[in-house]
This record gives sequence, C-alpha cells and structure tokens, in this order.
Amino acid sequence: MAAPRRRRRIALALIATTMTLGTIAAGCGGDDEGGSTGSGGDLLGKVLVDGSSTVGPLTSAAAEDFTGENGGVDVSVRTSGTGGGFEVFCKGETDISNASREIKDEEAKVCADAGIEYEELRIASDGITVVTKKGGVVGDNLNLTLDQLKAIWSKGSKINDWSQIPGGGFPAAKLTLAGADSQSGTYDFFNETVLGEDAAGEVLSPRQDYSASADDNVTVKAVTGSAQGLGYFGYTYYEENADSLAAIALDGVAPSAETITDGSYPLSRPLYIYVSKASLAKPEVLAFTKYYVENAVTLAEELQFVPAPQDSIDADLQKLAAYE
Amino acid sequence: MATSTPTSADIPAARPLARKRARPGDQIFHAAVFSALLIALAALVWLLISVVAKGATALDWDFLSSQTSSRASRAGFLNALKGSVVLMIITIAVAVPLGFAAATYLEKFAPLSRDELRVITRRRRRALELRRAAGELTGPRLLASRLGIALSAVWARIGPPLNTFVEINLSNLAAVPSIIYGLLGLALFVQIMGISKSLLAGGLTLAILVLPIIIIASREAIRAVPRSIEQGAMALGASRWQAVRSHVLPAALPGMLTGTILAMSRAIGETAPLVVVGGVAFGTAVPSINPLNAANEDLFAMPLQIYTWVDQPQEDTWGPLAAAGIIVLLVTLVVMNLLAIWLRNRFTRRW
Repeated sequence: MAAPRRRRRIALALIATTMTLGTIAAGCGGDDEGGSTGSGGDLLGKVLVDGSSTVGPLTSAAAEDFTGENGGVDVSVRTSGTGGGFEVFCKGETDISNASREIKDEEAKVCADAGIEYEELRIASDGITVVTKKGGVVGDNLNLTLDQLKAIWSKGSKINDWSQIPGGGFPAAKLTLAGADSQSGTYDFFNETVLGEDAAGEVLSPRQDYSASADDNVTVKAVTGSAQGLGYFGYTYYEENADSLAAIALDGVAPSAETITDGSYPLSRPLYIYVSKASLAKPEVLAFTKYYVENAVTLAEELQFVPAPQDSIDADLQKLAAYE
Repeated sequence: MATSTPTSADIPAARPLARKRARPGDQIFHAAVFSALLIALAALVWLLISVVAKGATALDWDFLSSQTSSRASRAGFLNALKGSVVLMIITIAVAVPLGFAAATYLEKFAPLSRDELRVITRRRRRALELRRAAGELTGPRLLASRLGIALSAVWARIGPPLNTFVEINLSNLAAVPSIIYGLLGLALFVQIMGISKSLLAGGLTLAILVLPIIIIASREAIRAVPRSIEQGAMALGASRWQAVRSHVLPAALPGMLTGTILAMSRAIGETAPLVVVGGVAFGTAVPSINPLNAANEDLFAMPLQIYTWVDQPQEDTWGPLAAAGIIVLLVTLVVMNLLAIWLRNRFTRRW
C-alpha cells in the first residue's frame, strides 16, 4: 500500500507545483508586460480595426509605426473580410473598417439606421490581375478584351479551350479556371466589373465550374499547377509570383503600378478605410488615422501595395482637417 | 482429450497452432495493413521534414521573444505564445472542475434508478423523523431538511430520464464540429453575456469545446476503478460521497489527468472557433500572462498567428515564419502528449 500512496502524493505534488508556477507566472506577468513597447506621446486608448484581409497588413504596418511613437495607444486589427468588417462597423463595435471595395448601399443603410456616420478615405490601390502560366503554348504577352473575359466567366459558359474564346485566335489548349470564392471582396469586384448587372440591377453570378478559394495563394497554386489555366487575384500576389505567371493585358492595358494607380487598368480598384465620425472625435483615433493617411504612400511602397494617387491622399487629409 | 482434465503439459499438444503455414490471403492482408500504416506515417514524416526544413532558419530566440509585426524581418511569436498560455489557463480553470464534477456525477450518482432514489429518500425521511422525535431538529433547520427530502423525492421522479437525456447528448456534443462551438461562444459569451472579443471569450469557448472530451475521458477513468473498492468503503459505513471522494477519485485521478491533457492539446491547436469569436490578425499590445486581465487582451493564439502568416502574399518571407510557428506548436503538442503518456504509465494502477 505504501508505493501507490507515495505515487498519489507525487501526483498531487505535481499538480500543486504546476498551479503554483502558473500563479507566480501570472503575478510576475501582470504588471510590466501588459502594454505595448515604446514611449512618448500622451495619447491613451485603444483603436479597433476590422475588415478586408487585403488591406489588413497595410493598416497593421501603420499601427505598428504609430504606436512606436505613441506608446499609450494600442491598435488591434481583425480580418473578417470587407463585408464582415462593415457588419461590426455598423453596429459601432469598431472604429475603423478596412475595405477592398466601396460600401454597398444596403450596408450603408444599416449604418445609417444605427446612426453610424463615417468618412471614406482612400489609402491604396489594387488591381485584380488576370493571369496564366508563363511559357505556355498561348505565349506570354496576351491581351483579352473585357467582353472575351465576360464570355469565359459567364454563367453557363461552355468555353473550356483557348481556341473557343470568341475572336481570340488562340491555339488549342485546355482552359481551366481558378478564382476567388463568394466570401471574398475580390469575387464581388470581379463579377461587378467583368460580368456586370442584369436588368434588375443585380450583379450577375459567374459560372460555377471553376476552382474557387478565399485564399489567393491557393488560386496562384491552381494556375501554376495547371497546363494552361486562367485565374485572377490581387496584383501583389501576381508580383510575388511574376517568374511563373504571365499577366494578361485587358483592353490593351497591362497591369502595372502606374496603370493601377491612375485607374486606366480596367480591373483597378481603390482600397479604403472607413472611419466612424464618432471615433474621429477621440484624439487617439484621429491621430492614428491622420498618421496612416500621411504615410499611406510610403507604407504602400514598403509593403508592396500599389499606392493611391497623391490627389486622393490630399483629399483625405482635407477631410480629416475638419476634425482637428 | 475430452475424457481427461488437461494439465499444463497437455495444452500445447491439444492446440496444434505451431503447424500454421502462411497462406497467400494472409500475406496480402498483412501487406495491405502494413502499407496503410506506412502511408499514414509517410504523410507525417513528409510534413515534419518540409516544416523543419522551411522553419528551422527562422526559429531562434528572437522569434520567440519579439512581438508580431507586419514586417516579416521583425515579426515574432511572443503575442501568440502568451495568448495561448492564457487561453490554456482559462480553459483548464473552467473545464477541469466542471468536467471532473460532471464525470463523477454521471458515473457514480446518475446511474441510480428511480427505485434506488426512492429508497434513499425513504431512509432519509425515517432518519429525520427519528431525530425530530429526539428533539434534535427544530425550527428552520427542520424546515430545510424537509425541503431537501421533498426535493430528492421529486428528483427520484424526474432525475433518471433527465440523466438519460444528458448522457445521449454528451456523446453527440463531443462530435460537434469546432466551428459550431465558435458560433456558440460568439453568441453566448460575446453577444449575450457582453464579454469583449478577448482572450477571456476565447478561453471560455475552448473550455466548452473540450468539456465533453474531458467528461468522457474522466468517466472512463472512474469506470476503470473496480466497484468493489467503493462497495468495500460503503460496507464499512462510508456514505457514497465519502467512498467516491476518498477511494474512487484518487485512484481515477491519473486517468482523468491524462484525458485532460489530451483535451488541452486539442484546444491549443484549434483555430476555427477562435477566428469566429474574434481572433486578431495583428495587434500592437502583447497580452499579459495574468489570466485576470484576459477580458481586456486581444485574442492571440499560436494557430491564429500561423494562419495569418500563411495568408500573406509574400510567401518566401512569411513562409519560414509560419513554419517556425508550426514547429513551436508541434513541440508543445508533443510535450503535452508525452506528459500524458508518462502520467498514465507512472500512476495508473492495475487492479
């Protein structure tokens, strides 16, 4: 009986030790490690951001630099997607909502009903890039018109080979498609711009037989892994994989930082942050937003985003000046 | 063979198993089962090799001790590590007492049938009458005892079917996909109870996620203790609770702890429920390890951080970080599982 009892005691001692260590760790950790590092600045508070995962890294970088100078402010960034972000933004749960498209009418209505007013600030640009695999039988310097793209992606489209693209004159090669899934802001934007709306003003939905993913890296893999596939995703993802992917010019305009910033590339889109007016009354939110917009171009270049044009940045700063 | 009683010397002769010759069917089956094992192992080995090859360069002290960042060159795992520690503390603090108590109840008290419960009620009533006659019970204490007995009479009626209902649902709960628990946590803790989207909400969600697992494992451990132990104690005059507390639970504890650790290693790897409850992709504040602060801390966790990093467009810069994070998470899991195995081997009794 002696041995098992000793064992039981050891077990109890083990548990007790674990708990004690936990408590000590808790006690030590409590005081000095709660806040963020850095010092200076007399602003205090917390800025809550949610929304597009495309814009997220840019906001995170701005937050990191800003809190480096203002140690009393903490910023947290969630990435629930543009739609998910507006949902909580219009409930008043967040101060800033990242968005890879403009707010939709029905979302704006929810905000208005809840009494949430906001400023829309453009902070960068993005171009949905249509790509195929580099070095394939169809060549690398391709051009498609938006009508051809529409014919390929429309619901019920039977185009499964490059030679079937109307007016294309491409050689025969199997055409597999990859793109964003319906959770993604990229999906909304692509369908709206390429497929357009029906008579009732509803955005047309695309064909269903393509490999859809919310993760652009998965789409990249789908295109590089296929013989001669076609896919679309954010410009950054193309830039990162430019050695294996060939971007397709649309209506004669190839995607590049310049054509996306100035909007001449047909699938270029602005990236926004939406800031609640109630939050702009708080000095820490105003200071952060101002810092963000002022540094938007440098940050965009550093993080491989396409910057917003200078005049839209100036317009943003104009808007913010009203809250000083 | 049928006429004489077999002795130990007879047994090998009576069973001519040594004559077995491998049949082709057996060999094919053997090969198939073995290759199934190899395929499973190969996938694991491939995963380990690719992760270690990718992440080993990024894994150093800086990685473990610096804050997360939106620049890959500076990003570290500290927020995620501390977040996961706090999540585990909260999950253990909530799920273990509840789970152990529920398992003890379900295994030792719930199986009482309606008749047994009635007998107990009758016995208590008789004891009460005796004490009342002796003048030991008066006034409010008498009333309280009467109320207690009335309640146990009611319980004799509704208890057993209710227990059956709980029992059936418990096994179902353990099979519910974790994202459903995330939605439950979001609705219950964030929207109804008004807890902010924080480590506290995340920890509570993980607690209800692992609760059924802990209960089921603990019940197994309690069941493994022979009834004779408890009956022996009760025969010597111990009440059921005394017998359970001083004999059954100590003997079952190693098994219960093993189950708990395995449940925790499930909780530490969960991503989906935390995303739903409001996990952050980035935050400038490093969470404090003090669980009492958890309601104000951003919801960081190791799997969430890995998920965020994998999602970045610049795969060559973020990939190694994600891989290093995976190594840390895997090592944590292996250590927890080793601890569980050690506990089981060291303390389990054979009866």
